[in-house]
Amino acid sequence: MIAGLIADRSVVVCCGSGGVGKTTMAATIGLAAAIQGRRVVVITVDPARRLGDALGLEDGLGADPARVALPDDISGELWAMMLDPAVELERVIRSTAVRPGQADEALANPFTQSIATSLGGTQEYMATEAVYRLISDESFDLVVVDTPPSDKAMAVVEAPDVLVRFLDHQVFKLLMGTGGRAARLLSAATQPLLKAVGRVIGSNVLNDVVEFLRSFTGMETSFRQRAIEVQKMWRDSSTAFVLVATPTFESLSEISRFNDDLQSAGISATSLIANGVTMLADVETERADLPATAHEWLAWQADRAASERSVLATNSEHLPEVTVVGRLPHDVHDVAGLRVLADQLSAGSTR
Amino acid sequence: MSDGTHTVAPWLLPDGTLPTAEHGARVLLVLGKGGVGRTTITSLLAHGAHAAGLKVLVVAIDGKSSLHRLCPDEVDVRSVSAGSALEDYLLDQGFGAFARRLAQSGVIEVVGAAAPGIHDLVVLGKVKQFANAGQHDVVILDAPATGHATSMLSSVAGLLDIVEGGPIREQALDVERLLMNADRCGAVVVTTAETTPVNESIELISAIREVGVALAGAVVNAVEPDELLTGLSNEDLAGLPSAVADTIRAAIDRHENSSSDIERFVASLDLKVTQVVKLPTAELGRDHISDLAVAAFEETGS
Repeated sequence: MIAGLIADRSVVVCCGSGGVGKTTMAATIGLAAAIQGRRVVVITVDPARRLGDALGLEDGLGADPARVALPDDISGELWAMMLDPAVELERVIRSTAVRPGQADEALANPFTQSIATSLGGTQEYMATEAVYRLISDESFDLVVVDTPPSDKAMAVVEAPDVLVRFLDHQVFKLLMGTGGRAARLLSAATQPLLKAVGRVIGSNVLNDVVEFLRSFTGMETSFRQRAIEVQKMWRDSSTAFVLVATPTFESLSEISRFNDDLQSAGISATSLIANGVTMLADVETERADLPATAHEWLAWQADRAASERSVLATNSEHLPEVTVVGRLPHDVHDVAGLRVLADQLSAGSTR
Repeated sequence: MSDGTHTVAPWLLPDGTLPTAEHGARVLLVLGKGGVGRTTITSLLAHGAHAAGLKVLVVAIDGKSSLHRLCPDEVDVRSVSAGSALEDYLLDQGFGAFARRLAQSGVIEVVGAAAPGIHDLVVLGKVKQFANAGQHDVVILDAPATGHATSMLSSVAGLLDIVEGGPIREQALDVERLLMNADRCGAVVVTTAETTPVNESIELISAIREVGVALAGAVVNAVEPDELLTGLSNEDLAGLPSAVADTIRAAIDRHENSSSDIERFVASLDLKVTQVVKLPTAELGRDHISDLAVAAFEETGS
């Protein structure tokens, strides 16, 4: 039951393709937990500003949690923030530097900022760092993570593994000049090839990369340690992965593929939210006093609702338990709108 | 469509003639925000171009299997993996097993970040290769979601600034020539009739113009049937259960909002917008898309 995990988990990760309402669902889960009296922080990794809009935060979201104003009858707290990879990278560098001045040097490298935003996996890794920092923060009971669209969401989960693999790899040690004799032997063989790679991409680019990596010398050990702790966090029993999809064949197929990827990474999703379900299935359409066009509209809704139900019934057998969230007549742009959704989630109308 | 303006099929050349494989395939880049139905519109264009007698290749990034299911059998579908494209490129350049080693170590990723856009360039390079192979008249790319798509288009110019010489620069120049040639390449922007997607599409269109890629089509996808409710009065709704009446009123509001969103979208463009209706099925299949393609492009007579 989704209501159960809202009550007792310490991390809830929302995953789904673009456009399925994942950000809204993350905010909804956060609000539902706050209604139960929990202190919640929602972090969005998606650079789209939808979360701030949905929560009615007029100034948008920053790299530090901002408190969302909730009605008086809600006893918990709701905070929200947006991942800023550059800010997060600076925090990580400052906390892992091994000698005075190293953090400033690493940050002064013109590459460091562009790496934070454009190196595949860095943004995702920074997201895991941010989540790790938030769960260690005593002022929150629950961290809700709004991940990037599902093709990149796996990268969030795998980021620590990728980092460990990179740090352990001989080519990295070679570039860092820390590999010992084996790496130096490798070096004799690979230098001409690195030179050749330099010819393809431009030697200036390759030299910049090497210099960038060397500015981190000595910090690998603590990077590695942190990455291992984050790997554990994703697989901890207090963490829940919630899948979000729309009630269409296409969306359910995509989320199934993502669910398979998660399982290969040793993670089982706990719950599936079918968002935006057409709810006008059971209307009596035989009313004579309505114009024909209105009958046609109601019949369309009924057909669509029936089709969605059948697609959900036939395509979710390998997926976790489904909670249905009905399509709202209006876009959600404030806490009152989110509350309607939060009530639907807590009531847990399962298929 | 309803206003009677001519809808120009995106696969046609700017002079209104059909492209041919001998002169190089016309490349269509299908762009839009996540969830607006880029894959649906990619397959719809494939149906339309196929019906017009063209040999069509559809290119998916990172292996979306649904294109096989949605496109006509005669349409070729190929998948390009953005992740391994650079590795492939290095293999093509004769780096052999070393390229694989580099890829496994993550160093390629670091290098890719150092030269932002290198992955995108290699993907576009593959599309160019397909377009110049003489096998197809039209190549349709189901491009990544908006944010990434604009960076994909600007990646070429960005790389030309960074990389001073060598094969990557040659590749970037080649791709740039293809992208900027209005006979060879056009963007098709897809949106839904909702505020945020329309806003992002308008931004996307100005980004496309800035890069210098021609706009070949604009599609509003999944248009709700709410127009059926126009003219309905409160009296009509009086006898209905209140929840149903509320939902209908909300749908009438939604129709007004989406109509004005569509108007804003149209106003930002100097070409005809194609509207594609949302169907009452949750499982779109090949036949649905084929029907939608006929409805969308019937007036072109092509």
